[in-house]
Amino acid sequence: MLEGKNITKRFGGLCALSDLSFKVEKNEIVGLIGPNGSGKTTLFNVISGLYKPDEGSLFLKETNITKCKPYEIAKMGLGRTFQIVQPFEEMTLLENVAIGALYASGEQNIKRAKEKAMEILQFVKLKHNPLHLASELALPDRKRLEVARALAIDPDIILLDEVFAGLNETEVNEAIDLIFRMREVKGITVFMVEHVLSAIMKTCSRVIVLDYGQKLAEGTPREVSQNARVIEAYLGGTVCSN
Amino acid sequence: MLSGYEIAHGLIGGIFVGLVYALLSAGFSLTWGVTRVINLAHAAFALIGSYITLTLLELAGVDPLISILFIVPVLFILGLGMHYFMIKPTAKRTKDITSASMVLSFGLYMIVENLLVVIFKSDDRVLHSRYSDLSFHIGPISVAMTSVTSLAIAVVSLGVIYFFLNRTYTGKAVRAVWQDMDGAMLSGINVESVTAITYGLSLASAGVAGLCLVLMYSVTPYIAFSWLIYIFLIAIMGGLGSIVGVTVGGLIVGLIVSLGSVFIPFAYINLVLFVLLIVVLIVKPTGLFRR
Amino acid sequence: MMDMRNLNMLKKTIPWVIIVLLAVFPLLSPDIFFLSIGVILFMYIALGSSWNIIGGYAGYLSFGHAAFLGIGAYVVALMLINYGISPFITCLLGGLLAALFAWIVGFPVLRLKGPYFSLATLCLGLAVPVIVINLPASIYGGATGLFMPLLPVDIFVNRTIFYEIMLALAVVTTLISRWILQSKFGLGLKSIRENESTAETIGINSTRLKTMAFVLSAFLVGIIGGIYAYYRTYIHPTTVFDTNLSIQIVLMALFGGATTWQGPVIGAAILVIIDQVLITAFPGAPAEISRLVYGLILVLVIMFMPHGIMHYILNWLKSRQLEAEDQEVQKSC
Repeated sequence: MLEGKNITKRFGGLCALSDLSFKVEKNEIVGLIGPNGSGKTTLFNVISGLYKPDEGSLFLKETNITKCKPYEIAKMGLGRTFQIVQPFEEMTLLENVAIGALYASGEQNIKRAKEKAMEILQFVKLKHNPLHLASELALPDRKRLEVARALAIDPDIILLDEVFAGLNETEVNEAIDLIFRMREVKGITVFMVEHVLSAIMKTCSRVIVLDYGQKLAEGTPREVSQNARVIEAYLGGTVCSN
Repeated sequence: MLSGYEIAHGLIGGIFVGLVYALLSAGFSLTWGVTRVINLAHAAFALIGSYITLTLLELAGVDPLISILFIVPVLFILGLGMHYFMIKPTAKRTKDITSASMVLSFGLYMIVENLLVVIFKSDDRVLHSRYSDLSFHIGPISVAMTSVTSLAIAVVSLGVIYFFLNRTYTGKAVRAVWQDMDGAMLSGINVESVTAITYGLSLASAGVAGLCLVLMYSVTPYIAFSWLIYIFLIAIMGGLGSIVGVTVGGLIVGLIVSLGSVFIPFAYINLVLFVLLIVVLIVKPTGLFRR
Repeated sequence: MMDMRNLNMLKKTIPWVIIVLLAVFPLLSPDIFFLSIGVILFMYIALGSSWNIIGGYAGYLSFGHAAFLGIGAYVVALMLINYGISPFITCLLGGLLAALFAWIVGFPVLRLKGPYFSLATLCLGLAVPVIVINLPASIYGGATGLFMPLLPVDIFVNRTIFYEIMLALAVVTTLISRWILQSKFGLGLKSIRENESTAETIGINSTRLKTMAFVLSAFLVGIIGGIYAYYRTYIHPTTVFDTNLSIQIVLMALFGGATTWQGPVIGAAILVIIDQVLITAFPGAPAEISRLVYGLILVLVIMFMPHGIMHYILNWLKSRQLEAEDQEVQKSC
């Protein structure tokens, strides 16, 4: 589904990602963990086209997307959310979601796009009045909206950047449920950055660990959590496990 | 045929004008950098400095150099007033203070310009001070004493601002706020008063630049707009909030204007400047001298 | 429920009634002064609505729209003087050339964001008249400007013609602007204003959308410029490429509320009327007094309503409507 080969990204003299290769297969739920500043969000930005890698290449469904613009990658079926949620605040919830349907999934009719947006808002269980402005939402609902917006482009794969951060236990469980439903109902592959390790344990079938822009370990959550190098890297950094 | 004399004259003239324009732009660059406010009225405040100088000299015979002592406090207070009574209440009501500030300060610009017309009429005004008839010689080139005086004022003022920003606690706080507002707040800097001081400093430096300009050129209340264009060019070329950048930007613009008028018709010089600005913006929008 | 439908009907009819009343107004043989104010008012409404497509919806505040106005004006004047073709036809050509110019300069300037875009367009607006002034005077009129032959009718009929045409332009541009706001195109532009890189990640080709908005905006302004030139009959680089005009357009749109389609209409109407009232209120007083008060009003409105008047009115109306809906939902539960 998604494959990166020998990706390197530098900022000035700093190597944010160095020679990183990874693979996400169809229908997998893969976790991406690592200490702060290990390059997780940078990798997501490279995959979604916001940054161009200095070296290496990216493939989405066997197509080379290394040189593609973000909107082209989105249209090819890659959706994402942001660590710091960025809803379009001065637009209604319905508009926030309908835009993705209109621009990425080829829906031309605004009314049908809004109907589709309503379905997606129900799917993510966002109960707020869809005609209200997004600026009124509290954090958990902002995260739901962000996921809904990404779902509206009809993605085959979705990148989730710390969707659990700042949520309480009930909300985390709801989010986990949502991730499973995305895969079961919509057949979407999930690639997620996460700090909440217990949530990773419950959801991911495979975990990739980054440290200093390099792959430190890879395997099932259990294997990874017992890996000596991972423990060492995390003891140096901070571990958040609710 | 161009003589070496003309070129040398252009070079020296360019340096003089450039440094005065640098002082004019420094405050604009500072408020933009620190508070994300684009103050279109900046040049109009400089003009207030010019008219204070003119009035003090004509009514009370005050030497232009002495009038700095009036200009700085008056414009500093105007700056504080602008912050507390205009920018702060507006910033509370919008996230996009940059767009709002452009309209807001354009309104302020209209107020100042037309107040000046009401008070001083729209005629050309020339300052006749004791410096006006003297000149100064660098080899075969003679430079008016007025230009030398304003150069000196501009250099000293730029130096003072530089010293303030880099060597004093408050100045360092201004720079901290400009680089990272939230970080500065967390480290216990009183962002509120730092911003207010930035405005005071910004308008005070504009007023002093206005004094320099009225020493060298005649003024009318309508001249502020053409100064504004130079301010944009210099602030953007120099990179926001950098005094060194503004100084270099001022020199570049001054030299282009001054040397350019030796080679090409004056009207085309502005064209060269606009094209230059657009090129700079596209190649390096953070300014030529920043990172 | 019946009340609601009546209210909606009323909301839809009132603007059209006003337009019809404005259109038949010249039949009352009013003083020419009022027709002239009408021409200026409608022109600013049309300019503001056109500007709003790029400036308001996409959030790219252009301070150089007079460049497009001037291009339209010069195309019309040159075609009339040299080939005798009616401005009412060539204004379309003026619009096309303005659009072409916007498309070309859009490549570099639309890459700039926020105030940098504003300043680049401001410089562009200042650069174009410099070029025009220095073109060969024999063809372009150069620094002396261009005179156009008048329409062969008396002054009242002349004003009426331009009054009706400007009214039509104002209505058409406002309708286009309203249609865009509710369309797929408009939603895309709004998302660019909100957050351009996020918009890209949900499939929006922001470069293409911005360019389309900029070019369309320039096209409409070019047409208005052509008609304006014929109305003035004399054009000079400093009048049709006037930077103050560019700034006026921005002020009116922001004043009224640039994120709404009604904003430029309300903004232009209020500011043109205030301008005229100030001039007539202080008949003996010099123009600077009225400009001073005008500046004061701008400052006060932006201080208290930085998003423009319409933004607050619409939010207030909407919150009332939503409250009512929420209450109904609660009742039915």
